[in-house]
Amino acid sequence: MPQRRILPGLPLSLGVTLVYVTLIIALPVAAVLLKAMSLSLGEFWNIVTSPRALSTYRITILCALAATLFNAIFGFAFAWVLVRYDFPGKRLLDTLVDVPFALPTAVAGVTLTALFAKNGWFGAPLASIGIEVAYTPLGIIIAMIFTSLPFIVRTVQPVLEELDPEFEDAASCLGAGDLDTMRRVILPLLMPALLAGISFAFVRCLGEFGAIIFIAGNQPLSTEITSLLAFIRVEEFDYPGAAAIATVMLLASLTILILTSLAQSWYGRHLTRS
Amino acid sequence: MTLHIDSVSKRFGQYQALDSVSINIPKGELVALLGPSGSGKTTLLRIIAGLETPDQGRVLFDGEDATDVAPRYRQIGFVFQHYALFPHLSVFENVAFGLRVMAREARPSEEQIRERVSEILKLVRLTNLGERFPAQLSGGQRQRVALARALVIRPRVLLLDEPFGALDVTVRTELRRWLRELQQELGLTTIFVTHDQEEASAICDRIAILNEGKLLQTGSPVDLFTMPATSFVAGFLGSANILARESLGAGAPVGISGAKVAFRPADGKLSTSAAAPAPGGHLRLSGTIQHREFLGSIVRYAIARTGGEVQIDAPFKAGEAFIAPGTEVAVDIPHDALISLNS
Amino acid sequence: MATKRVGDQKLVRRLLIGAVAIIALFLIAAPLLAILSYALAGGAGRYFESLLTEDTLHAVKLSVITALIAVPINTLFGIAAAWAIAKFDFPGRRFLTAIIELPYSISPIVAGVAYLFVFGAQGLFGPWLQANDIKIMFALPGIVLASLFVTAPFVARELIPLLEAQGREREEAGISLGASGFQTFWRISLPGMRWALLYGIILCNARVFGEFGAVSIVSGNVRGETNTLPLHVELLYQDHNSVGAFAAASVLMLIAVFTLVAKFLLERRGVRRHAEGT
Repeated sequence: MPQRRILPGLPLSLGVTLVYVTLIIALPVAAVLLKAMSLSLGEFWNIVTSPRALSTYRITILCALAATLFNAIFGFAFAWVLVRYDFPGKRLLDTLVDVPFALPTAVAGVTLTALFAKNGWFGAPLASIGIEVAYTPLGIIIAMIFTSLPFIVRTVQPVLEELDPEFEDAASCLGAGDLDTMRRVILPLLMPALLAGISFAFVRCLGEFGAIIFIAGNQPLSTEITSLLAFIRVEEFDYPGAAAIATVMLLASLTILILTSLAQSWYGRHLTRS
Repeated sequence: MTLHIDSVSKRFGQYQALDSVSINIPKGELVALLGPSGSGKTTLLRIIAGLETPDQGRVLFDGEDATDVAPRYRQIGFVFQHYALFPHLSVFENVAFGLRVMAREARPSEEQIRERVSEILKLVRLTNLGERFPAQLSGGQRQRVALARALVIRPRVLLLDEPFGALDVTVRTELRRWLRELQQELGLTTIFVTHDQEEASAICDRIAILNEGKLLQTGSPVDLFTMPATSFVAGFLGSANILARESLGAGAPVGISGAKVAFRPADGKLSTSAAAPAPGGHLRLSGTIQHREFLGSIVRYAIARTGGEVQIDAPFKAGEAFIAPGTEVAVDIPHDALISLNS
Repeated sequence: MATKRVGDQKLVRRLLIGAVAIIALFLIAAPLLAILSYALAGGAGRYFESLLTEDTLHAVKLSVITALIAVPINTLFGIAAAWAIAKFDFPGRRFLTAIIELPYSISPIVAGVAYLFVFGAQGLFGPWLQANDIKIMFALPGIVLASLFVTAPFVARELIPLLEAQGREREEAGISLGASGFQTFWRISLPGMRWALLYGIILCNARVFGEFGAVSIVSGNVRGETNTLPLHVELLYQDHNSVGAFAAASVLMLIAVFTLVAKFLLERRGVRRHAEGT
C-alpha cells in the first residue's frame, strides 16, 4: 500500500500471525515432508506402493467417491428443500445439518457402529434382508456420508438463497420448462459452489479417521483405510512408514485443493467483470 | 397482437397491488404503464407475462383467454429491469436460449439457430459481441442483449420493466429513441413500465397512469397533459398548481365545473403592478413572492397567497433582474389554461 | 412473490421434502437418540455410576483443561490474523489465508503424525527436548498443540469476511476523532465483531472437545492420564463397556447440542452461517 497506513496494529497482528502460522501449521507440515525425504526414493516408493498401502488407497478413494456422489445429490436436495420450501420442522431440519460437524467423530463412529451392528436398530432389519453394513465397505461409506454431509449443504445453500428469481422468470418467458431451466440455468449457476462443496467433502472423506475406524472392520487388504494405516505405522513405531503414508495423504489433499481452486477460477472466468 | 386486460385484481397479503384494472391495447401500439413505485405497474406487467396469476379478472391475447396459460407457452418477450442475462452464457448463447429450449418438433436446426441469432444481433447492433459474456458488457449493451434475447422467439407482445432505469442519462435517451424506431419497424405491440413521465411522454403512443393499484387514466401523452382528469394525473405529468375551486372566490370563471382547478406554472403571467385590473378572460390571483429558484431558461417563483401557494415559471432573460422575495405580485391566468379536475 | 418457480409443483415438493426428511431422520437424528438410548440402557443409576468413574472424570477434566488453554490461544490468533488480513493489504495476503485454512483439509491423522515428527523422540526437536527433560509428546502439551493445529482456522475464518465487509471506515472515524489505536480496537472494532467472534469460539471449542485422530496419536492414550474424552469413549467401547462408552459420549453430545443451539441463536442475530471449512 503506497499510502501511509492510518489503522494501527499491522506489525503486531501480522507478526503474531506469521510466527503462529509458522510454528503451529507450517513447521509440523514441513516436518512430515522432511521425515519422508530422509527416505531414499526407492524406500519411499516401496512403502507407498506396498500391496497393503495400495489396497488402503483403493478402499479409501472408492468409498470416498461413493459417499461424495451420494452427498452431492442428497446434499443438493437438502439445500434445495431448505431454501425453496416452507414446511413445519424446517428449522429443525436446518439445525440437524450441523450435527455431524458438532458431534465428535469418535462419538459418531461408535454410535453408527452400534446402530448398524447385527443387533443394532438398523443393522438387525438390514441383516434380515441380507445387507451387512458394519465391518464392510458399506459401513465406511455411511460413516463418510455422515461426516461430510454438512459441507455440501452449507456451500450450496447460501448461493441458492442468493439466486435471483428473475433468472427463472426469464427462462420461463423464453419457453423453458422446469427441467430445461434446472439443467441450463440453475445448475450451471450453482456449479462453482457445488464443486467447492464436493471437493471439500471428498477431501474430508479421504482424511476421516474417527468416524470410520469403528465401523470399518479394519481388515488389511480389504477394509483398512489409509489414515488407519498411518496410525498403525505410528503404533508400530515404524516412523518412516508413517511419514511416507502421511506424505501421500498430504499431497493428495493439496492436489485436490489446488485443482479445485483452478477449476473454480476457470469456471468463474466469465462471471466477473474483466 | 391485441391485448385486453379485463378487470384484473391482485392482492399480496394485506396489500392491494391491483384493483380491477382494465385496458385494451391495439396491435402495434407502444404503451407505457406509468406510476410511482408501489402503484402496481410491474405487477400488471408480470400478470400479462404470466409470472403472476391475478386473483380476479382475465388477460386476453387476440381475444383468447390466456389467464391460465403458463409463461413458457405465452410467447412473450420480457425484458427484465436488471436484464436477468444468464451470466454463465455468452451473448450468443443467451440469445439462442429461447430457441434451444423449444420442443424438439419446433426447434430450429443448429444452422437455423445460428442464422436467427446473428440476424437479431445485427438488428440490435451487437454483431461482434456474440462471444462476450454479460459481465464484459456495458449497461447499454446488456440492455440490447436482453432485448435481442426477448425478440428472438418472435414474441407476440414485448414487455419491458423499467428498461432504461439502470442506465445513465445520455445512453438512456439514445436507447429509448432507438427502441421506438425498432418497435415501429417491427410493428410489435409493446408495453413498458416506467416511473419517469418524461420517458413515457417521449416515445409512447399511449400512457396508462396507475396509482395505488388503480388505473387512473389512459390516453395519448398530449391528451393526458392537457386534459388530466384528476389532480394526481395533473401533478404526475408535468408540474401543476392545484387549487380548490372555492378558494378562487368570485373570480372563478363560469366554465369550471370540477371540485378542483389546475394550471401549469408556465401558463401564469406575473406582474408587479397589482393595481392594474386583470385583462379580460383571465383569472387573477394575488400574493407575495416567497421564494425563487433559477432553473436556467426559466425562473420559478413560489407565491404565497391565502388559499394555497402557487408556482409560476417566468422566462429568464439575461440582464433582467429577479423579483425580490416579499414583493406583492399579481398572477393572471387565461381561462382556457384552467383545467377542471374531478378530484 | 407468488410466482411459480422451478420445483414448486406439489408432487415434486412433497417428494423432495419427504425424501430429505426421512434420510435426515435415519442418518442424523437416529444417532443422537441412539447415544441416549445406549447410555441409559442400564437405567439412570448405572448411567451416573459409569459417568462418575475416576477415569471418565479424569478424561472430562483433561478435555476441559485442553479447551481452556487451546481456545483462548486460537481466539487471540484468530483476531490477530483476521485484523492483519482483512484490514491491510500486503504481498502474500492470499497465500497466508490459504495456509491458515490448511488444517481444514489435512487429515487429523496427518496432523498427529506431523507433531510427532516435530516433538517426538525421533522428531526435529526430540533430542533437544529429551536432553532438557521436557515432555511434550504423550502429555498435555502435545494434546494442546495438536488441538491448536486442527482448530487454528476457526476464529480467523469467521472474522476475516466480516472485517473485510466492514471495511476500515469505522476505525478511521475513531482515529480521526482522536482515539488511540488500542482505544479504537477496544471500543470500535471488538464490539463490531463480537457475535462473529463468539460464533468462531463456540465452533473452535466444539472441535477441541471432539478432536480424536490427531490427539490419539500425540497423547499416547494412557488410561486415566492422557485420555481425553473422545479417546476415553473409544477405550470404553473397545472394552465392551457400552454403557460407559455412551455415557461418556453423551457428555460430548451435550456439548454438541449446546454448540448447535448457540449457533442457531447467533445465526438469528445475523451471524453468517457456514460449515467449518466451507
